[in-house]
Amino acid sequence: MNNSSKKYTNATTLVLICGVIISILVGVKTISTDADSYPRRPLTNVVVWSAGGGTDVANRVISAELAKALGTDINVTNKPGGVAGSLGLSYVNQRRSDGYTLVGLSESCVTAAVMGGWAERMDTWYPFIIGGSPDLISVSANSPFTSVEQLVAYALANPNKVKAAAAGSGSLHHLNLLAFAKGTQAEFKFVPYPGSAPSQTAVVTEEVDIVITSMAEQQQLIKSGQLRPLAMLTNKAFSDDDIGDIPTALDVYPALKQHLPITQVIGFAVNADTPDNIKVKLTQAFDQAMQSDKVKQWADDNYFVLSGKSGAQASDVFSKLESLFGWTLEELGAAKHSPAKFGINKIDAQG
Amino acid sequence: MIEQFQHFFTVLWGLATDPVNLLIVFAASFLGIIFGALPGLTATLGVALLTTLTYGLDVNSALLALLGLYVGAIYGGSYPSILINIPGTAAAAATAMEGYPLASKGEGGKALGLTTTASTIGTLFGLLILVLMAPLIASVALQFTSFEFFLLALFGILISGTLTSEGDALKGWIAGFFGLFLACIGRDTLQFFPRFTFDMPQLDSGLDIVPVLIGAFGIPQIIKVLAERKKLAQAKEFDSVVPEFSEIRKNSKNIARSASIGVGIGAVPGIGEDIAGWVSYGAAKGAAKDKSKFGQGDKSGLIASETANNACIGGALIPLLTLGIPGSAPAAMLLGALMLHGINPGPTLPVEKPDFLLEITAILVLASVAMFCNGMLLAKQVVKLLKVPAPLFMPFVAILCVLGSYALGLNVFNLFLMVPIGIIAYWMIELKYPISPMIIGLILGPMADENLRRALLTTEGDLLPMLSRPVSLILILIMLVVIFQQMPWFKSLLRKCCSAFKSQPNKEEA
Amino acid sequence: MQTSTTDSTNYRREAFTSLALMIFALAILAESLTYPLTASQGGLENVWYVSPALFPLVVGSCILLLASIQLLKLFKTAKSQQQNVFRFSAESSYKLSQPSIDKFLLVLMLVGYVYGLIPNSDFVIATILFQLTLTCRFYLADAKKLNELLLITFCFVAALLFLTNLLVSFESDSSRLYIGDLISFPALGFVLYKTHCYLTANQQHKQIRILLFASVLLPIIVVLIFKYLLLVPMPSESSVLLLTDYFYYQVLGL
Repeated sequence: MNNSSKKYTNATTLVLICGVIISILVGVKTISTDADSYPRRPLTNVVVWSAGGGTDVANRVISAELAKALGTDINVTNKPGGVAGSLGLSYVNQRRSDGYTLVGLSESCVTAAVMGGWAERMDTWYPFIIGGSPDLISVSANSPFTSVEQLVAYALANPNKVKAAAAGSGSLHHLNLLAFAKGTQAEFKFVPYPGSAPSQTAVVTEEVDIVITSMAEQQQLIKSGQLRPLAMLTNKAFSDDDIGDIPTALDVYPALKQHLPITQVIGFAVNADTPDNIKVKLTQAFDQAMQSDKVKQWADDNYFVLSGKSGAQASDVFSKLESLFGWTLEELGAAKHSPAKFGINKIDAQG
Repeated sequence: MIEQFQHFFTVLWGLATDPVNLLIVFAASFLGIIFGALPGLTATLGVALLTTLTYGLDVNSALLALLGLYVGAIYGGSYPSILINIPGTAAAAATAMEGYPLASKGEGGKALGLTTTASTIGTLFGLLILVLMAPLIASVALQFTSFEFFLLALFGILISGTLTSEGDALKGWIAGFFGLFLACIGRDTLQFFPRFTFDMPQLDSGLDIVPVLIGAFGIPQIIKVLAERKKLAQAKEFDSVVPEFSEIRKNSKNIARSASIGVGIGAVPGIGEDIAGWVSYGAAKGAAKDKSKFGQGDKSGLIASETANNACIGGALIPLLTLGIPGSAPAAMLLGALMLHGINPGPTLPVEKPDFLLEITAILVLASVAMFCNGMLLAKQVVKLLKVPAPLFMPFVAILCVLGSYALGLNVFNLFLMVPIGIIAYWMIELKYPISPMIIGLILGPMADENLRRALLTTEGDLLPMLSRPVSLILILIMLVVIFQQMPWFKSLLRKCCSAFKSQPNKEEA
Repeated sequence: MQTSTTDSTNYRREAFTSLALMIFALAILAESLTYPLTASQGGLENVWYVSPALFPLVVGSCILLLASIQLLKLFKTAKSQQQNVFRFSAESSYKLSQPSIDKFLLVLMLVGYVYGLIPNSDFVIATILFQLTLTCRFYLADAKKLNELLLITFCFVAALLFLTNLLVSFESDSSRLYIGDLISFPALGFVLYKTHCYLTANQQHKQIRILLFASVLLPIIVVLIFKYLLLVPMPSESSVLLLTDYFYYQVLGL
């Protein structure tokens, strides 16, 4: 090979490489997010809890319907970890606010800031609420308690003797337990478990005496007769063909109405600074998805109460929860930072 | 019973004669094997991915895809363990102990053939138990309270002491406790108190197992092969992947034991494939007459770990289908997928959908057949990868390790974690500290810690209930035997007793 | 003589490790003693058996115990074999052999790749740069000059990226990655050009093809498979991956 041809190939390589570099770097700057033609590619829903859990399943159901309404695909991924899902929250928060990345979250995420997971409040999101399942108190089928009155009477007579499971410390169910204890003035011995399912198993194996988790999580064990439901922690009593009637504790102890109900809130969100026309498109698709038969059927099967709130209404729900959870954790001594540090005001009324 | 059998075969026949279903199950199992074989891509991630993709399919097809992938992924983890000594999943870590030495001897193909057969047998055995004894095992699983979980974790950690093949047990224990320390990092699950996090929010959720596993096994291997010019395992020309059935027959006892261990461990909620392989490997080593071959490429050790981790699938499905409690991480994902399709696994399932258990069994049988066929076809091709020169192959493995550590949690911090762990692990290997006890410590540490404290909380600091509960008493006795077996005087006593028993009837006959 | 030298080196390393472990265990103990032993936390009344310090204390003391036994054992065997564990002599000084240099460089490159390149630059660019340097070093071990150049560029880029990230605060991830790409992409082009020049000058056309396949094409293929088939997003997605996104979704319309 002679010298000139070698130089020639070398020069071509150089020009080629430079050309590729320049075109890519320039190309990237020009590919702007075109809000009008949203969505032009698949969306990603990053669920901050692990796969197979309540938030995950609800998000997968709604994402499938949302995808139909938007006319694109939605990939659901899980990014659990950190404190109260803070890893997933900050991951999505750092992404471009172009409506292509959703975050699947639940009520517990409101504690991420006070627990030291990150330094943002819930107002950084534009949320959509799918709904939640109501909480109730149950005991093992072999338990001597057959009504909530018996339970409370016993607990009042023997403070700190009744062992109560309600998922982890600072969880929604734990807050329900605390509220129940406050309203009835009974003292329970809280035993934390890593999740709702282990808490329920602990009651079935009679390691603990009572459990507070949601109806969706308990329904199987109640239907099969391994758990005996005592009382709902909602405004209304519960009635169902398969499960039967369950009274509400709020009727028996009116003092509870000050603190309850605190219901589960599962949903998803986009960054608050997402362009308005994308928010509108998402809201329309969300409304359509919530009306779909598949979502309704799924909610029915799983004793899930659909909400369908979005935007300002949903933000309101989350900010109330943020205050409630933040200050409760502060009182428990479990918060890393005071809610006041983030400008979270203490409010008494329940949402 | 006969009706059930008939129904089972009709379902199986129906599934097997539909070409679309066959295509789905073969493709899913192929994808699963690839998932398992790539370091860090786990069965959990695969099931999560397919859940979204199969949402539109009908229940049976979706389950075929999901279970096909699950079975394939658990099996696929054995490929990198055997060929390059980097376990793709924690479940296959025990496989590397014997598989890699075998591959180094040029018997990689044979080792892969054996694992394929062992995995298939394991899956089928797990199924058999699932069908026959699901309610019984579920009721035993309900005997597990915090005390039993604590003892079980302790048992797993103890087992790690017996796994140290070379050097002294002391180093194994140190490595194990180091793993337990790693497990302490993060918020403690009972009180949410941050331990050893040094105010880094990334550490709050504790260390993920996958990046630690890949760092501890992958990085030292990359350094060894590239820098020390250690040879990779070699592919022999006439190394057949068709397993010798005499080998399987010889190991029938071993297989039965390993499969039972796998099912048992799978059925206990919270622990799964990752521990099953280790425990049955330890048991096989304990039962072996000639322990010196272990760590040098002993086939019974290989068979034990692979049978157990696949038998675990059937086990993990037992609490899932009968109690609604998933037995392992991929099973938890499967629970979500079932709920998406309107099936609520749990105690009411036999009432609501009486044939569902049989359908799942038929699907799993099909999935394991697909796994066997795919495995046999792939094994031969995969061995050829070893012919690629190491300087081209290992940098590529390094990139797969990076992607694998990242993929499950989508967390760059996991990469930051992988590198220092890898360097520590390299130093440990240099000084002949075993790595595996560290991994076991990390997996079981949180379980031991949390359950001990919770158990004491429920009994107000009283340890005695541990002795009064039947399951925990059995666990304590097994552990005592394991501990005493390490002591010479106990062994000789045992041998004397045995010989006394054996000689007694002989005398009478005489 | 040879074996006794390595033995004493080994003893020294063992003793050093045991000592380090003991210090480490003491640190664990000191840290865990600062945890609440009796104060109430997270809505639980705290007694010794629910304290978060319980388990780390047990683990720490066990490591301390085992490491000291290990150290004692070492002294015993060293004594019986007439070895001085803490003797530093010239003959046993650590000699830098080729493998140990390679080992060091390998660790350096991994550190640079993971801490410098991946978080601050497009994953495809970072990976090709890493892969090219690493593959070339061991595949074309004779090309000393080329390897030197590659390594220096790699370390320079990694250090530069790491420092920019440390010193400059960017308003968003995408702008940080874009700046990172402005540094790493031209560097990659430069390295590719130099490699090409070197190998054509030496008439190693076959090697060029293999090297380019293994370190450029293969990573791109793997990344594309992970991203679009397995739906695993990459750790850092900037210029190259945004462009592939554009092609995949908008041009191909998948």
